[in-house]
Amino acid sequence: MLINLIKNEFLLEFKSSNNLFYMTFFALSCLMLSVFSFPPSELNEVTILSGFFWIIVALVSIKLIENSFSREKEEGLYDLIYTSPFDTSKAFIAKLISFSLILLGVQLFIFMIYSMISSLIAFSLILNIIMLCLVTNVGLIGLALLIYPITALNNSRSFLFPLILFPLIVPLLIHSSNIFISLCLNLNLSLYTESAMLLLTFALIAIVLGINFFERLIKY
Amino acid sequence: MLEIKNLSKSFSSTKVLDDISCSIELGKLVALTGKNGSGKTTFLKCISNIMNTDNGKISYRDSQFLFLNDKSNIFSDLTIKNNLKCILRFYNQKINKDLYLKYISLLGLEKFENLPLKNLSKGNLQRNKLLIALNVSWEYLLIDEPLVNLDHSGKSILKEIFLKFKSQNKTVIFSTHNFSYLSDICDECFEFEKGKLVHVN
Repeated sequence: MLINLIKNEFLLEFKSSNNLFYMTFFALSCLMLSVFSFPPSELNEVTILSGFFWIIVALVSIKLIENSFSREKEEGLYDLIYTSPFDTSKAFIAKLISFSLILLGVQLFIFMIYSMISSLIAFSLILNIIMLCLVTNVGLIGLALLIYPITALNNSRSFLFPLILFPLIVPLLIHSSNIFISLCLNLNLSLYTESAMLLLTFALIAIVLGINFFERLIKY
Repeated sequence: MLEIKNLSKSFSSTKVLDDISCSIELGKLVALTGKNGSGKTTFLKCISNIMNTDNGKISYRDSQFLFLNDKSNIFSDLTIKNNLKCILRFYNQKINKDLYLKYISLLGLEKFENLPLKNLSKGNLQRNKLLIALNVSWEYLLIDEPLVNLDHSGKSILKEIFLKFKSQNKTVIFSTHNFSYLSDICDECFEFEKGKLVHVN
């Protein structure tokens, strides 16, 4: 069942005419703009990648979640989906897994393009970066999936959703950025255990809250 | 059997459903009628369990619902078949190719099979809703305004389909402003007025 739901999310995302391509293009162009706005130096590169990159990722994830729910709501499928017999927590998990992986795909694409113009990201780092991105994505997407249904009934949801979400994900962004810097500059990773634990805690909290409360949140 | 006791629902200070009690037996065709804003759609949403109620109890034992609301019920970028496949996945079911081919030709949708659903007319989208109802396995079908946008032949196909559901002992609950067209096949008609169930025929 869970596999079926994940398949659905992937199919809808890839078939959706106005989503993935634009998000990737948006993320890439933002990053490139930031890169070329600063004079070339390793310090600037690290600042751009660590700071701007995670902000862009946060914006992309907001768009990803918004599109997913509005796709269901626009044509009236929301009622049909959430009255079907599957366990709603599975819908949460399916969305969480598929969107985390899609976001990871976007991130890897950006890194790939970025590595063509910069030597900052060594190929040997890629596994560590994937792990970091995945844990951060789970926390980020999980929280966004919980916040969106809360704001969904409000007319100013496009404003309210990021307004509530951003303060919640700031610690997530700061700490993933810290670990990212340490990876790029080959610093001692053990100094960032606290940051890693915080990212894991966010991911776990989002999963536990989603499994227990998603059903209540999607009802109106 | 679906039993509803003292169901109430308000939006802010406006009472949309006011102390509704009724029961619906399996295999019945039930029409919900009433003026605009009388509470028909809210009633459907409450019994499908997607909308929280303020008060009341709805009892059903693990019944399988299919709720087709007044919108198109489509993923607009998908084709008819992919849309159906997606919906069936939510019900943990797989497409039965023979049934699909039979029903798509019954509904006259075969020539639109390869088009994205966003390119279909409103009438054909309504027919597509019937295709969903025919292919998904359910016990209770809740359908909002099934006659809207259908031409004469579409309406008679709908009648035929509803009779088929009835013969299969499945329950169909639908809201309509055009009750006279389906009155001869309906078992019960619930009339709503200002959120109250005023008449059961």
